[in-house]
Amino acid sequence: MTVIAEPELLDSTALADPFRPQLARIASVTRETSDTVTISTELPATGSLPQFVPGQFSMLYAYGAGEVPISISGDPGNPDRLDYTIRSVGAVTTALITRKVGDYVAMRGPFGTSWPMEAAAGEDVLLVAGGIGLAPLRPVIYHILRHRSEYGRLVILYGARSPKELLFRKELSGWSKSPDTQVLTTVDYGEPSWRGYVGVVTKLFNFVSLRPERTITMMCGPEIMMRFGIRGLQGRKFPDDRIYLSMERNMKCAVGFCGHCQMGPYFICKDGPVFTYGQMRHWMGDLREL
Amino acid sequence: MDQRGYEVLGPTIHDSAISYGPIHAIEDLPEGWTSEQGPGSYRLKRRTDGALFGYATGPKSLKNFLHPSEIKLFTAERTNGTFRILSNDGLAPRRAFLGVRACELAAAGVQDRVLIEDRFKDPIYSQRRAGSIVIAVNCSDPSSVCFCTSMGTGPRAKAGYDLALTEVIDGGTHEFLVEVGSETGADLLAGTEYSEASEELRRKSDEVTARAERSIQRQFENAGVAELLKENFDHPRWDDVASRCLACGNCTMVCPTCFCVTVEDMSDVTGDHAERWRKWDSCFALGFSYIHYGSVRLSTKSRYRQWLTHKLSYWHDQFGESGCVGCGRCIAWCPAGIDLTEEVAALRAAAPAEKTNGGGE
Amino acid sequence: MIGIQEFIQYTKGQSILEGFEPQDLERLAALAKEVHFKRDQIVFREGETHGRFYLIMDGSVVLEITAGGHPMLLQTLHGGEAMGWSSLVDSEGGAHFQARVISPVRALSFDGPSLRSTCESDPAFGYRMMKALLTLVTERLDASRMQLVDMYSNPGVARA
Repeated sequence: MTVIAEPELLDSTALADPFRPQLARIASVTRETSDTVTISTELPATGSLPQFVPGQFSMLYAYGAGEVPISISGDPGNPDRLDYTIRSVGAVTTALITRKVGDYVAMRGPFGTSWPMEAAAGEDVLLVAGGIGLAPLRPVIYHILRHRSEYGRLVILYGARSPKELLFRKELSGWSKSPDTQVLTTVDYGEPSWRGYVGVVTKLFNFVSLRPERTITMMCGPEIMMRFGIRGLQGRKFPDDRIYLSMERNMKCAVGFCGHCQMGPYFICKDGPVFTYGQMRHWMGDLREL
Repeated sequence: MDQRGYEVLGPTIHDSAISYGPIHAIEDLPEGWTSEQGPGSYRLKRRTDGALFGYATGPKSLKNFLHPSEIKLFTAERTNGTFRILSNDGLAPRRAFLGVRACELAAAGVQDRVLIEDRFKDPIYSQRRAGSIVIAVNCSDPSSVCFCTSMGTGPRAKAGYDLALTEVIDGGTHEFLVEVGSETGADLLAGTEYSEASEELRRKSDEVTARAERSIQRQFENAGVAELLKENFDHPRWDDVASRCLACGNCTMVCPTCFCVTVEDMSDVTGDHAERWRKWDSCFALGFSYIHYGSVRLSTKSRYRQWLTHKLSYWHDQFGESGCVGCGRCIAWCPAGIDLTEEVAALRAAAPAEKTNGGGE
Repeated sequence: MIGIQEFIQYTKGQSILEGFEPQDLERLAALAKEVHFKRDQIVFREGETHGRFYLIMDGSVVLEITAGGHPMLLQTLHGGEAMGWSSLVDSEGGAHFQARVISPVRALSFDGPSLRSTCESDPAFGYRMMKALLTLVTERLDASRMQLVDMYSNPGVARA
């Protein structure tokens, strides 16, 4: 039966409006690479920032330019800040990375599903990241290092095109010194000063020993890199449902209304962005244009 | 209605079609008109009687009003190095819709599942929906593109209305059977002159529906379609339909359940005022699936397939029902006359023996 | 020449030798020589016909080339990997890249022509050797293609 009108006029501000962003002040700006910047945001005046779980994203609005989905890259244990690591790939992201300390952005969120922090408890954790894909995994690293005894071995495999495109370089070397933590970094093209691996990220699987049935894998990077990564893991008998991916699609609303992010039966924004490979298996693969 | 502060929208003739427009008096209704529809065609035609509601659905549906094609989400103002975000216009219009068909009620129900009953609530749609009165008129004259009987959505309205009318013309008499669907409906009826319906009027009203049902020739085999489409991503029929499809997106605009939108941000020349607008979008647009390194669905084939597969298959996964109500608008308003019932039948009939599985192994 | 027990122990991590029969390993052991390279030592230079095939036990080597005045590191090779596969095919013109040691290397070295003539005189061994080689080359080719698609930054945009 139809919902019947109340006799008085309805004010749209009366309902929680998922389209309405809130202002946030940029508290710090860190340049990561030539085209990538991390901004740390806080709410002006009183009011605390919304809590987030590792893997979630926000819709960030650069005044007048537009809005884009950006993963949260900061520490879930620090509720006063929401950090975003942003690579300039278009007008909005370029506007966002040129903002200065004290400037304001607006945000909606956080939205989306979490990395499997509970499923990973007691297990070894393998993180596979490519390029900017390390940013959405950084909250996982913070969380595990903060709760070190709750997790087994932590292995971080990270690939980028060249050494100067690596994110969080100082932190990477810090993490490698953490207990029971291994960090392997590889680049497609090295330069003479580079001391890490040269080669594709999938090759790094050769240099770690993990028990596939006791390991939760979390992977993030361009879809093509994840497809190669999955093939490498499958060859080593990692079960599909223990491989988690963070997916990317065009997104306009983040709440399941705009339809842009659909991938097969899923809305990446509300059913994801984190999925198991078991869920994604049928829908991945650019040539099929699904 | 006017007195209650409702704008009444009902069938009117404009732009050579019967679609919702303001109704102030009975003269505004399309008395003696009907529509003749087929794949890629819609024509108004004179009737031999004086029926007020003797036509099948036109291009507009409740979607045009409940989920508007363009709406401002907010205004932002820049001041002293920061900016603030002002709310949108705020007030949702209160409207009474007259002449709503059963298939449209079903379509609004489908949109309710997406925009109200899912995890998030769209405040724009919710308020417009809540602020509406629905006076259905049971369909007496389905067109050749209609297939509501296959989808179980019509032609008679079973629920979701405040009042439902059946127009009964028999020789010299021209009567309406009124059924009450809500307290609001009862309240509305109380303010009018009416008399208890006779057994005969009820019987005649049933006959109107039975005649309408019989006149629907188009068949669509809904059972198993969800699986059929998923199992046939690589069927050659998609190439065939892609060679005819213009990717114009008309089908998505007239579809009463298609809900996709985009968001546009703009600012004025001074940069002191900015606005965000929400506008209907279509999965047939190349830019719809754009991510920073290109569009996911480049070919027309992939975009038609996405539309049809979403509507008839993924929709079940997402919302537990089909996204199609059988109104036939996408058939009539397709400039190439593409008929989804024919496309699905072709996929079904010619499913290759060694079909490539959707699993992509 | 290296004792077979020692050889088996040395080559435990060599995936390239999976599928080799015991007699194959004996043939290889007979041709193997243990070698050591210091950091920054050049194993072979671009254009050089060095004619040797290596199974790296420990340490790492980088394959590099100078293009347009810029030295570029194209691949690192580590313990458990093979190097110098072109010495197993009758190719002319020498190495396309320079191999430089980045951490001290212990490796087994094989004379390419000798290994090749063993393959020719024992086709069953030769087949398994070539199959192993093809697996290795396939991996390298896949890796090169992955590098070509620039998968981390701008996938699909062909590199100029």
